[in-house]
Amino acid sequence: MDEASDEELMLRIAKGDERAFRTLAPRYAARAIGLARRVTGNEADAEEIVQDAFLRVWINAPRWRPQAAFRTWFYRIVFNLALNRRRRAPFLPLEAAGDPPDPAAGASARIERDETDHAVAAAIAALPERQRDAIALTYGEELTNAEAAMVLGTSVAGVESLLVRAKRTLREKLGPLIEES
Amino acid sequence: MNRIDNRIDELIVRRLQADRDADERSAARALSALALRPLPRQRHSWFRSWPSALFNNDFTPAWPRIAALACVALIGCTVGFFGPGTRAFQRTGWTVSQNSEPDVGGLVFEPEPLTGAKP
Repeated sequence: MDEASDEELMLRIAKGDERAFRTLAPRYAARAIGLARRVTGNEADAEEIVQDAFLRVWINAPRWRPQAAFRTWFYRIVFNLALNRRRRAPFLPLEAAGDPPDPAAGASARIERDETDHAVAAAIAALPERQRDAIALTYGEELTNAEAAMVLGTSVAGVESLLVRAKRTLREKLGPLIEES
Repeated sequence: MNRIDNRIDELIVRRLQADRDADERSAARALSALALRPLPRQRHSWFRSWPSALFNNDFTPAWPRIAALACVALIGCTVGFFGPGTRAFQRTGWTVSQNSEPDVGGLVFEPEPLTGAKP
């Protein structure tokens, strides 16, 4: 079962095989959380989004057609859920923000320790949302431009354009820092 | 310029993949939360699942009845195509009382000879 491809597992899940579902989910959970966290900027939201995405995979598995890779399909679900959450986020009351992220993760502490990483994080965070999403998908999740285009719901040329503009902005902001170092 | 671009690429990757450990921990939490709750019912496409829905609900007709229906349909078709009143039947030489051509005279009803009653 562990060696089965994603698509083989999905065919079993479509027939209601819960074991196949439990095998497939861990393969993508961490990366999906990374993607959701980068889009929403909130770790607790990211966990909820990924749980929701996996439930949607289970519920809709009988309707899944192996025309696109499972990875692309799943990332699209996660990305759309994260987008919905990001749009809603400014209007949420404080109680709905969820639990604070695990302090053991220490991501922000590590960033603060490393000035360069901090500058990179700030520069990426300052990018327009679409450019930041394109960067997160191609650099963070290592999707090809074609896969990122499917997830973002745009063309390959559109993704390339987003990446070019993002990198131009990042070069302007980070260039002096890199030259200094 | 290439050196800067490559360095920027490295920094972006390093930054975006720096939180993998935290993501793993979050993933473990999410998966354990998922394992605690029962999975909901799956949503099946009606177009693909209607035969199994019939089986599940025991609405499927029994095969002997299907066979009987098919036999009756076959007899019906045979009589319809080759039975009395068809050209195939007339070729056999049997005669059937019928108006083979439009005949207005056939539609005139004459009075009953004895009583004079009209139909």
